[in-house]
Amino acid sequence: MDTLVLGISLETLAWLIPGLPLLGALCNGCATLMARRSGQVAPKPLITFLGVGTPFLSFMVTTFLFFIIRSTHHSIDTAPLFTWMAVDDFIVPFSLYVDQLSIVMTLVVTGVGSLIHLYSVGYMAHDKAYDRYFTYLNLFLFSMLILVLGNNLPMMFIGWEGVGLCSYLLIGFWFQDPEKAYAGKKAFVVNRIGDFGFLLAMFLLYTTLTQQGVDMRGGSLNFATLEAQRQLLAPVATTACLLLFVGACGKSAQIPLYIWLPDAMAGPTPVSALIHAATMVTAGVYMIARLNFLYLLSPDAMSVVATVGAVTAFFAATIGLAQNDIKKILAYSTISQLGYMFLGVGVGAFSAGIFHLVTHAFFKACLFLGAGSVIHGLHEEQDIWKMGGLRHKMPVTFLTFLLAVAAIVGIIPFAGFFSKDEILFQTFMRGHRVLWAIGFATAGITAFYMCRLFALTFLGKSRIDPHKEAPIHESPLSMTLPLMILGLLSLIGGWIGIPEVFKGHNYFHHWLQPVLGAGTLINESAHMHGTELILAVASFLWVFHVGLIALILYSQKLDWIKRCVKKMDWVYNILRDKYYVDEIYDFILIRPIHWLSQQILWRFGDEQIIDGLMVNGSAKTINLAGRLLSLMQTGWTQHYALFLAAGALGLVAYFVL
Amino acid sequence: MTIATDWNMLLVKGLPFLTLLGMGLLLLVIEVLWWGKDKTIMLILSLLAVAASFYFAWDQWIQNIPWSQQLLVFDRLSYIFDLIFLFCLLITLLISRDHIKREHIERGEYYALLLLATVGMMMMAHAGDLMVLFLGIEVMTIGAYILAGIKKRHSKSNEAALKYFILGGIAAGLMVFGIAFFYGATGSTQLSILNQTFAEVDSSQSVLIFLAVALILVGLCFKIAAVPFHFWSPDVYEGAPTTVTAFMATAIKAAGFVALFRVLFIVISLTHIPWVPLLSTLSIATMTVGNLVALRQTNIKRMLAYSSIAHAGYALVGLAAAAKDNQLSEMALGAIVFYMMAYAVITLGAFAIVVAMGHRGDEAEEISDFAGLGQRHPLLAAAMTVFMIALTGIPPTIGFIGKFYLFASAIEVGLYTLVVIGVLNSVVSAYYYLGVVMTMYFKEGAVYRWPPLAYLLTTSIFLTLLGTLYWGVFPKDLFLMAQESVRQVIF
Amino acid sequence: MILLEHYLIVASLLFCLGLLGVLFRRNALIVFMSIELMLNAGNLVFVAFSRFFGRMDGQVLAFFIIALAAAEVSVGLAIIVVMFRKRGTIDINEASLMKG
Repeated sequence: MDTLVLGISLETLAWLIPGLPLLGALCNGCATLMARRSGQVAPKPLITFLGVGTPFLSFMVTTFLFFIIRSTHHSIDTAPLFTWMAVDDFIVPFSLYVDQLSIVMTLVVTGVGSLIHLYSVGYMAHDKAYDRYFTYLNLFLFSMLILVLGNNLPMMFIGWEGVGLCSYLLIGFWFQDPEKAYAGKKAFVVNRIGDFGFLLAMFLLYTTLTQQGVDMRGGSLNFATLEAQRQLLAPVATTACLLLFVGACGKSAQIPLYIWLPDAMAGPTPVSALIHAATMVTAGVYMIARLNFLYLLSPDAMSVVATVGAVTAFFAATIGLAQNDIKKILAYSTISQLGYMFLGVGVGAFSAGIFHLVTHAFFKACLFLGAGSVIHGLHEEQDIWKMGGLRHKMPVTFLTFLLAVAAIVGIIPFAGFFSKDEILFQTFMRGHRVLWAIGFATAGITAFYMCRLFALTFLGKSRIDPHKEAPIHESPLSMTLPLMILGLLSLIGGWIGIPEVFKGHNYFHHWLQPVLGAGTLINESAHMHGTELILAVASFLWVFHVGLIALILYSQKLDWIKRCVKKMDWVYNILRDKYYVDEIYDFILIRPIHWLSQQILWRFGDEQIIDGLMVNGSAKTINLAGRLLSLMQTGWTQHYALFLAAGALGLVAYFVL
Repeated sequence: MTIATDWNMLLVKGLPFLTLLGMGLLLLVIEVLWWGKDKTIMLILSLLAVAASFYFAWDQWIQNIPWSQQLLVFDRLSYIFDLIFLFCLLITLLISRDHIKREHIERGEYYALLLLATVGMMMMAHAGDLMVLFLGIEVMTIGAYILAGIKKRHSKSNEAALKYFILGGIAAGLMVFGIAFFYGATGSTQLSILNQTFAEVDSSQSVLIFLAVALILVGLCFKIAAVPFHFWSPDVYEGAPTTVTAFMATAIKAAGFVALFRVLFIVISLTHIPWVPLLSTLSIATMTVGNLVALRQTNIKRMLAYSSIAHAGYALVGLAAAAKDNQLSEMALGAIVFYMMAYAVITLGAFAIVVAMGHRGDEAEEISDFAGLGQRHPLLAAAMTVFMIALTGIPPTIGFIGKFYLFASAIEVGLYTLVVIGVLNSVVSAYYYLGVVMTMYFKEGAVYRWPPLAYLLTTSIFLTLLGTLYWGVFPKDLFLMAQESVRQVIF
Repeated sequence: MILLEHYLIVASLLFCLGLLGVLFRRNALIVFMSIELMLNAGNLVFVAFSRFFGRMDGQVLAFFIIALAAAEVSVGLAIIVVMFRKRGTIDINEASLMKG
């Protein structure tokens, strides 16, 4: 590896990317622990400096590496820092892999991550556990970067588990509130179900390779090894892919494991923006793109992914129509957008899925942070029916929110338009007409509920409690600065992938080609341009009009809306109550298990058999034996002598007889 | 019978114990002639002697030139036990200073007797002749009688010495009687003679041999406190000064085992005797009684005494495994040697902490005195936790590794029942070891002034803690050393 | 004619007497003497066999043991002296502070 300035090699730089946030987490963690010991809070400037500084540095290193890769076209596969596991021929080196795909992901994670860290400084300023918050957030960033940069499946799994843990810690950040602690627990448990699939898939891949006698000394589950041996994996590809997809469903909140994400909004809003919108939840998409060679072996698994994605997108969007909590709406929209990404990778358009992942990170982070700004300004008010008319009070938030809404709805030339359209076009072109129709319909619904949210929050007349209204003000610069940057990115972020039909060069897809292969996109030939143009214009007109209607209705004709809802209240109720999925899970899964463990396993098995008979019973017996034996120790020397003589006699008898 | 002696060779080979012997005698002279009250010089001289002796023993271990002079043998087995004794002596000396000062027993004899008792142990380790073995035992034990009763003002100390003396006397009588019959049966007291003459032993003589061997084994089982010859040890351990207890629990136990090795190497060839059932029974009785009675103890020294009985039982598991096929197997013996080291390191650490807990007028020997230590001195409590975990046999400590090797060697030869009982015993032992941990962390302690840890004490705790954890994670070198030591045993 | 067997029988009797003395006499001095008796029974066996073999080495060993016994008894007596000072009695059953 060539050395750059001052003896620092590219490898060192690669290690710095996850290393810096880890350093931040460790230092902040130590500071927190030491402060707690003396019953204080760690000094805020220090925490801020470390907590925000390390992600930014990490981002700069990533940018530097990005330009290096751009000029050299070489990926960086670092030497192992150490060998994590070496059992027989199962070898897991701890090393990083920086290529075109992971650097894009890393840029998003560190870039958006840094902005959200900065935003948190303002948002969490008055929280008592400021230090703990930044410790967790830095730790999250570290785990996410390990997930993205690890060069083998087990390392990705560490990151996978690490982000799950941090997510749990941050959702339940205000754990004094039992409901929030419960939400954290729910997220963790549901994620564990997915992780189970991930683990099984790793076992399957490893055993398959071992049985074929593949030389795996370089690392048993390295992506490079897997890719080189993909022909051997073909027989198990469908099973492995589906198992991995179970993991992805858990992490990326797809049907049927999506239920944790809306509840995850119990955490602080920047956390929702970072973990539950921009980065962690997209890990499933990233994983599928990373393992594209494996998924391409199994058309069945791919169609499952695409179908689940499309259905989730539609399903979550309809729920979003009837929610009243600003963060819940955004949560369902996240699930819906993730569905689009899975639709993209599922039909084989991996780069389109990743493209949407990137733009989504920009506008969804912007939306969440904007929502956070609103909530912050309104003193923890989250019901959109108690907002309205905020455009004058919070102009910066209003403007940036507008940009992001335009992006998610898909207005030309905002970011979301290019990426979403790419996915829909690819779906259409590959013959998945039904899925395309679902996606198309979803786009309209998305436009409707996003505009509804926007209108109720910022337009129309104020419905805020009069005595709450006076002190409303725009948020501080540390919060508005990230908003402005993300708003700008929501506008121009899509321009990296403008297709040729709009006189662009589709730079993004060319960039990812070395990783994802040339065949993942079908739009380069000129005779497709007509179709593409028609589809794009149609979807633009569709979302534009639906959005416009929603804007007008919800800012001007609220009474009419209310009357309509009253007439169709059964539909509305179903949507508002999220199709009763939580209740159904509760009824068919949670209660029977609870009953079984409480009545049979605990009351009978544990208390009666194990505690009563085995533990306490044997403890009593042993205690009794001990008491009897200690009675022999009388304290009288001659008794001891007698025992000694008897023992000697016994031994002699044993020998002589 | 002529014994051709190469005096130069003997001098070089015997340097480890000759050094200690010389220093022990010198200390006695100094004690008579020295008029000052400060005895620091004694400690320094003792430590110097230990260092020199350690160097000589280490050097000889490395050179690995087995040599037998009939009365004394010099092989790696004897030298590794020399090293174990010296380590025990070192830690005992380090933890002694504060303790004997506040107990008013800081006299020259204290140091001299520790050194001379160690000489006795080394004689046992190097014994090639039953008479030398017996002399070694007596030299060691007489020193121990005095050390146990050295707190003249304390009834308990005196009682400990008295009990130890009477019971030790009986054991000595039995052993002498046994050696005499051995002499009668074989015409010599030399151990190796048995191998040569066994073929000629006729039936009338074989009774004599069996009687002799049985009586000798009783004497040795007494030293390692195997049930039912263990009754002396809890009382003596409780009454003796804590530092002496630490020394007895580790060094004397190891000495008993090396003597047992020396005898068993020869007598194991008496094929008429079913060795495995005998040793298994002894082992099961020893560990079970030790653990069960330990459950009920409230005095930490007494608890550790019973725990030492139990650990002798675990080591006997290895001996039973080794005795399979009527020849001592290397792997099991190596495991026992390793276990002796492990046990010595951990137990010395635990005793060092017991010493650290006490202060003038209150020795803090009750387990309840540890209450609240977790808050008042977290580091000390953490160290004690490590030692208790190690005694239970939980990774990542040397205690786990030691037990693992022992039980593995027993499984190797198919003694499954024994291993199962051993593991069950470990589970029982967790109750009282972790009870100490629980007392430290979950019980409120009375207001109590912890003495400042003197640096010698700190050093010894640090050393033992380091050994417990380091060898618990990287046991390979130490285990290889133990294995090497039993490879070329000569008689 | 006094045979080896006779010596051995006498020695065994002495040994048993010594053992019984240790087990049942309560005076510490007598107990010590009984221990001496056990050791000397061993000596007798040594000397008898030595004579039987027509060699001297067994008799030398007996001297060793006599010397050891002397050392042991001197320590034992010291312990008794301390005990008598402390408690005013040398009844070994009085020494039973520690048990259990």
